Amino acid sequence: MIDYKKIGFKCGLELHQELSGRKLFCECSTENKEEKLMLEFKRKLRAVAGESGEIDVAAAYEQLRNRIFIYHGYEGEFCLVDMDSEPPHRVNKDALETALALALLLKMDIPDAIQVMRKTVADGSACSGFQRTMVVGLGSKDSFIETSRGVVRLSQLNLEEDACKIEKREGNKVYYSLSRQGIPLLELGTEADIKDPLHAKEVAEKIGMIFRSFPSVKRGIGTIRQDINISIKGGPRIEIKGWQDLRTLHKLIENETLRHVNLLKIRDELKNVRKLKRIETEIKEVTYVFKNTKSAVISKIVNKGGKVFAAVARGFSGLAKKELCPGKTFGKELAEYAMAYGANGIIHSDENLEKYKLVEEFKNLEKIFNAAEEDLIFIVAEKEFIAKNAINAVVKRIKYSLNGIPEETRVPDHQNIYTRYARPLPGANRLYPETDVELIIITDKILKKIRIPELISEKAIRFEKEYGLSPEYSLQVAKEDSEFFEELVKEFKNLDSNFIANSILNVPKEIKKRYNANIENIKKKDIKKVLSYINNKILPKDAITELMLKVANREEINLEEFKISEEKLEKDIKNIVEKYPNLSFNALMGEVMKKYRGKVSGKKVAEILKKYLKKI
Amino acid sequence: MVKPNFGDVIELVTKEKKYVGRFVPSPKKEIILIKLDSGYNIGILKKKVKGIKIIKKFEKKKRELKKIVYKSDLPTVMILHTGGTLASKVSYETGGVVAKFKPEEIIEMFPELCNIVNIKSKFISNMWSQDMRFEHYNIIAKEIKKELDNGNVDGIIITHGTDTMHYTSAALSFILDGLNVPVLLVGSQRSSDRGSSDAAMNLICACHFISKVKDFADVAICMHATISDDKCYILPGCRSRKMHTSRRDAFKSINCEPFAEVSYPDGKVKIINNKYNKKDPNKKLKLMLFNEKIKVGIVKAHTNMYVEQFYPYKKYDGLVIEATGLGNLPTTKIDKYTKENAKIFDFLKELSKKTVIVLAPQTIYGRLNLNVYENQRKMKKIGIIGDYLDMTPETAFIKLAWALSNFPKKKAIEIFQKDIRGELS
Repeated sequence: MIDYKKIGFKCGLELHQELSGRKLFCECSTENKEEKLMLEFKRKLRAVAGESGEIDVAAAYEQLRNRIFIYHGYEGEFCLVDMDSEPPHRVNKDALETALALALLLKMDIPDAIQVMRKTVADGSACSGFQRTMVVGLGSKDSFIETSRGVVRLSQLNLEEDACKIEKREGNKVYYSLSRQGIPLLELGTEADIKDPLHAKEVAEKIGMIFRSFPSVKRGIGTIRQDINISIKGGPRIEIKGWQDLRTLHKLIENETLRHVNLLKIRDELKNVRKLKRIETEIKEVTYVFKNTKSAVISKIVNKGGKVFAAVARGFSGLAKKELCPGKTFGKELAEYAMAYGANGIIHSDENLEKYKLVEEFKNLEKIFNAAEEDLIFIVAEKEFIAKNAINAVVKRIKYSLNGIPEETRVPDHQNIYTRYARPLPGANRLYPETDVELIIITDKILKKIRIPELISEKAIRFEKEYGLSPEYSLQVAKEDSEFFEELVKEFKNLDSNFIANSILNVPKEIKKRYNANIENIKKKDIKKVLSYINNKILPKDAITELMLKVANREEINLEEFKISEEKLEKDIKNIVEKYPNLSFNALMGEVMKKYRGKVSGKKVAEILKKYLKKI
Repeated sequence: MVKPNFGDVIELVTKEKKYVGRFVPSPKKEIILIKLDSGYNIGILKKKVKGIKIIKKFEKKKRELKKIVYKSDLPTVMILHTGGTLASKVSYETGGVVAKFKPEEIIEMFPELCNIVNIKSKFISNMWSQDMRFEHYNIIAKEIKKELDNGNVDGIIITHGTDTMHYTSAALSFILDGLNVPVLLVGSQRSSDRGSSDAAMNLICACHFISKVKDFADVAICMHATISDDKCYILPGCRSRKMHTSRRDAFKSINCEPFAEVSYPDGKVKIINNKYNKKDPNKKLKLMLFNEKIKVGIVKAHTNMYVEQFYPYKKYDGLVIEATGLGNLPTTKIDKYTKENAKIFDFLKELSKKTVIVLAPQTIYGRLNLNVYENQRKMKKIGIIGDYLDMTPETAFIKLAWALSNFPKKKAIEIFQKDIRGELS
């Protein structure tokens, strides 16, 4: 168990929520369906230096990677603005109003004038080389959320453009879809007030619920994403971009914290146990060693004209197999730095070399480097320029081990629930004004018109009080389509609100589970029709499942089918009772209901059954 | 209240709050803009501000630019800056975009250039291209001559705002008589502060072209060929036009193929149309400048015209009318509603006695032919020129003014209808 307080755990979240409607600076759809590919084009981005002449580390890193970006535009979901081939149109007023409403709700300080900024992005995820973003609210002393572990202060609310999504990578080519680029995104940041991983999850849940109180937020996978900032005592701030699964957020933070702790342990071992002041390394091109190799992986690359580069790190043996967090050794982490430049990874002497059929070759390398037992040897095989960049990156990372944790941006691995190296942390100088959009003046008149929605948590309480809805149903309805629920409650006065909630929340799920029915076919008007039969006592309550199943299967609802004459029912029940004289009451109920489920209420069947049982 | 300078870190106090940030320029007088620590700018109403305190004065970092090494095996290109933001840098402190002109600064931004050409550069102006006048064409031409006379220049690149780049390229085509080096106009459709700007690629491709095509001695435009960053076109200076408000591939050659394409980033040149003016040791550069007093206008023909629309040109030396289709103007009375057309005809008949009237196709593409309809034959009779010509309206405008600047009227009319620099086919 990690003692989070003791290790000086610090954590803040940045939550991103996509909005529906149109994109932030053009009229394109935000549906992100990517159905029909209309256009492909290619861009090379350049690292743009600031006036002081320095190129940002993250941008310089991209320049070194020398990648080509290929963009795909899908029907209705891109235009010249998204292609950076036309200046932005006016800001999406609905999105701005939603952001302002959120800022008001959270008691944030709204500036008198908002200036849209360009945030430089070098990795191609913004086709223009920058992302448009603006501050809508600044943290004030009153802007915080209450949690079980005390208040968590809110630092800043931004409204920005979402970035392109990667479709695939091929060598130094990256394919992006333009559909997501430009979708309005609320970005809400907290101060580093989070105490431990479970607390982070609670904070994310609370903020997520606040977001979902706004009717225009998008729902579904990927529409809400968390960036996580983490540090522990003795280490820098690490930024993790774009975690999508709230259920396992705490697990990710736990694994990342473990990684920090173990990197510091490696540092301490190098310094205090191995007594190293610096790590000596050497790099050599050694393709000739692998000329007749039995390793399929390496021979494939060498035969295609690729090169093998090897390096030695003196005194580093054994560390590559140390576990940083479950599922990840330090060797695996080192390989990520090679992969960032397009290599497949590294092979190192802490691994089982028999697996790769490289025992002989590594013995050879030992001789070439004059390596001792305590030295680590590793190789990268790829096209020459990739292999060279890759091995240099790994060597640089190994040398840094003496300093502990490098400051960098990381991306999550959703499958393994840990983080991977993405790029160096960009510097602070990334924002400058978007001169193609005028200053947005926020007057009191504008703010007065902003409607703040009812929070989900408040709504749930109101449903309990107003409609006598159970607490579980109240929260569930408030989170989902509460407007429709209220409409139904008002229309069908004879129906209990819990029955209505059950009909819209659980019945469709149940028939999907039990009958694998296509519940997409159930439209609001169908639900209304079905409920009206029950409301008007044409059909019994128990018919709800049967009726919804018919709607889902697109079958005609034949009311006659549901109308069972009392005579027929009695006759049938009588027959059953006579047929199974030894069955208990409950078993007999089951037999009758098998035939009449959804058509006759259980209550009625029980009544008749009792009558006949008495007779016998 | 103290007056801070841009870039100073200030503390700003309003009735309710206190803000700390860098003071940056604001486009609105009533708003004070500050850049927060996070890099974001926010605006505060000036009237709300109770006090400003300067916390830290802005210090501009000084630094040495790397010296350029001259390579004798590479051609030398002179870059003349007239406008546009081909090379500019963001000042993150003040939020401004600063244009850069020194050769060392250009090399710093586009380091690959130093393996293609040696760079010299000169600042002429930094103007919006829509503000250009004939005087500016003359100034640019004189600068070109001066640089070429000084020697050791193998090609000229002119940075230019894109809006009227095709006017300037046409003007230089006509002025530079006996030109014996390449003169390429380069601009950018998307500003050079952004990573995706087309500026670098257009400039690099222009340099590749100059270094590789040794017989080229013409004026051309070098801009993106497609929406991708894959190749540039070398477009004929007097036969090109900006055909889109914002796309990178806005420039198209009209009624002919581009001279060449330059692929990027490898810089391979493929000649598509070799009808460019070639180098010739016997050529000698002579400037045939614009007479800055010459007045030429452009009117576009349309439906429902009034004769008054032509009145302003009474005192003009020349008039280009953008005719419809093959070269039609509303000059025929066909019923009781078209009496005005007869007036237009009568007025043009009078006007053409003094003012040279030429037609150009408002379809942009294609050739005029004034022999198909009756109204055209009537126009020809009264001295309106344009039959068989396939010049864009902009080239016609520039050529007419240039011809009237350098020749007597009769000769000018003759010259206008002849192919002088490859502008006609």
